[in-house]
Amino acid sequence: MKYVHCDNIDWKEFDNESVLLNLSTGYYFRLNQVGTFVWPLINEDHNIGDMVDQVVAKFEVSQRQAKSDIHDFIEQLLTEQLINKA
Amino acid sequence: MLMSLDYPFSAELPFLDFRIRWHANQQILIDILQEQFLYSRVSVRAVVRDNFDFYIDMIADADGDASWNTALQHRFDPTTQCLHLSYLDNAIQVRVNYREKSVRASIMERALAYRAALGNWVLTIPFSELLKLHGIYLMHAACLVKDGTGILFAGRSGVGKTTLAIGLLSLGWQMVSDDEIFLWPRPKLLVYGGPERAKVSWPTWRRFSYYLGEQNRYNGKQIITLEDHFPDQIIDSHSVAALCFVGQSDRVSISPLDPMQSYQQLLSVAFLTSEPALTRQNNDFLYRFSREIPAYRLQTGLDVQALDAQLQKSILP
Repeated sequence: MKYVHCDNIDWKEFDNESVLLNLSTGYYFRLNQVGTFVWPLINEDHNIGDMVDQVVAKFEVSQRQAKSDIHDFIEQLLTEQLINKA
Repeated sequence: MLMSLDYPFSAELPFLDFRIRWHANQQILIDILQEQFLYSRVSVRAVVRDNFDFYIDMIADADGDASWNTALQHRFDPTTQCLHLSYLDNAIQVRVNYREKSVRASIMERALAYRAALGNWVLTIPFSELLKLHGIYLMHAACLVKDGTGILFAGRSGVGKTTLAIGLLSLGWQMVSDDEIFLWPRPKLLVYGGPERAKVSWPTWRRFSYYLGEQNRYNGKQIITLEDHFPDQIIDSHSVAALCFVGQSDRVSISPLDPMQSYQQLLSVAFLTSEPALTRQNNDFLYRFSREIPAYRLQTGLDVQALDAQLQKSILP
C-alpha cells in the first residue's frame, strides 16, 4: 500500500522536528525526529516496507519495532486526514 | 439566511492606509462597534490603499439563552471564495468575501449582551482576514519599545499584557499597542498598532492609579485612551527585535526559546482559519518569523522594576 500527502497540508521543518499544518482546519501536529524523517517518504514511490527499511537503516531500531511504529503513524495520519491512500 | 436590507446608518474608519466602511441597519450596532472597534489611526506613510466594506444586519430573535457555546465555527467555500464564521450557536454569522473584499454579518439581538466581544467577532477578525490579502497579519500581542528596540509581548487574553504595558510605560518605555498588533513583513518587519485605547481591569487600574487617576472599584474592564495618560510615549509603528511569550508567575524570569518552540507558540496566537492559500502564506510568514526573531518565555511577576531590569539585561542590546 502506498500513500500521498493531502493537498491542504503545509509542512515546516526545524532541526530534527517538524510541524504539519492542516490549512483547512488550522489544526497542527508536531512530528518528532522519526516522524520528520518518514513524512517526505510518504509518496507514490514508497510503500510501508520501503519506509521501514529506511528507518531501520537510519535509526537504532528493530525491523519489528519500526514496522509497528510506522503502521501506527500512518493510521494516525489517515485519521487526521493528513494523507490519503494513493 | 442574510436578508437584503437597507443600511441607513454608516460610518467610515481610516486605519493605516485602508478605509473601512461599515453599514448597519441599527444605530445601536454602529454605537457598539465604534465603542469596541478601536482602530482609527491613519498611516504615517502611504504603502497600500484599499477599501473594505462591512454590511451588518441586526436580526430580531426570541429570548436569549445565557449558556451559549462560544466556540468559533468556520467553513471555507472554495467555489465562492468565502469564509463562513459563526459564533454563539449561530447568533453571530459572518461571511468574509475575499473576492469582493466585503464582509456580511448577521447579528441576533440576544448577541448584543456580548458587546465587549462584538467588535472582535464582527470587525477585527474579518478585517484581519482582508488584510491578509496584503500580507499583513494580526497578532494578539503588545508592542513596547525601549531605546529604539521593539519587543512583542504575546499571550492569551487575561495574561497581563495591558498590565505589563502600563507598567513599562510608567518607566518611560514607548508603546505601539497593548493588545493587538498588525505585522507588516515588507520591506522589513514592522509592527503597527492596534487599539488606541486599552481595556483595563480594576486591579490594574488600582495598581497604576498614580498614572491613571483615582477611580471607584468596578467590575469587568474600562476602556481608556492611554495617550491621555502617557501623551509622548504612544507611537504608530516600530520594527521588531524580539518576541516574548508572556506567562504569570510570582517572580520575573526570562528564558530563550528555540525556533521550533517559538513557531509552535506563534501558531497558538495566530488566527489561521482562513482561505487555504492565505493560511499557507500566513504560515510561511510565521515560520520565517520564528527563525529570524529571537524569542523568549517571559514570566512576569508583580514587580515592574524587576521586569524592566530583566528585559534590559536579557534582551535589550
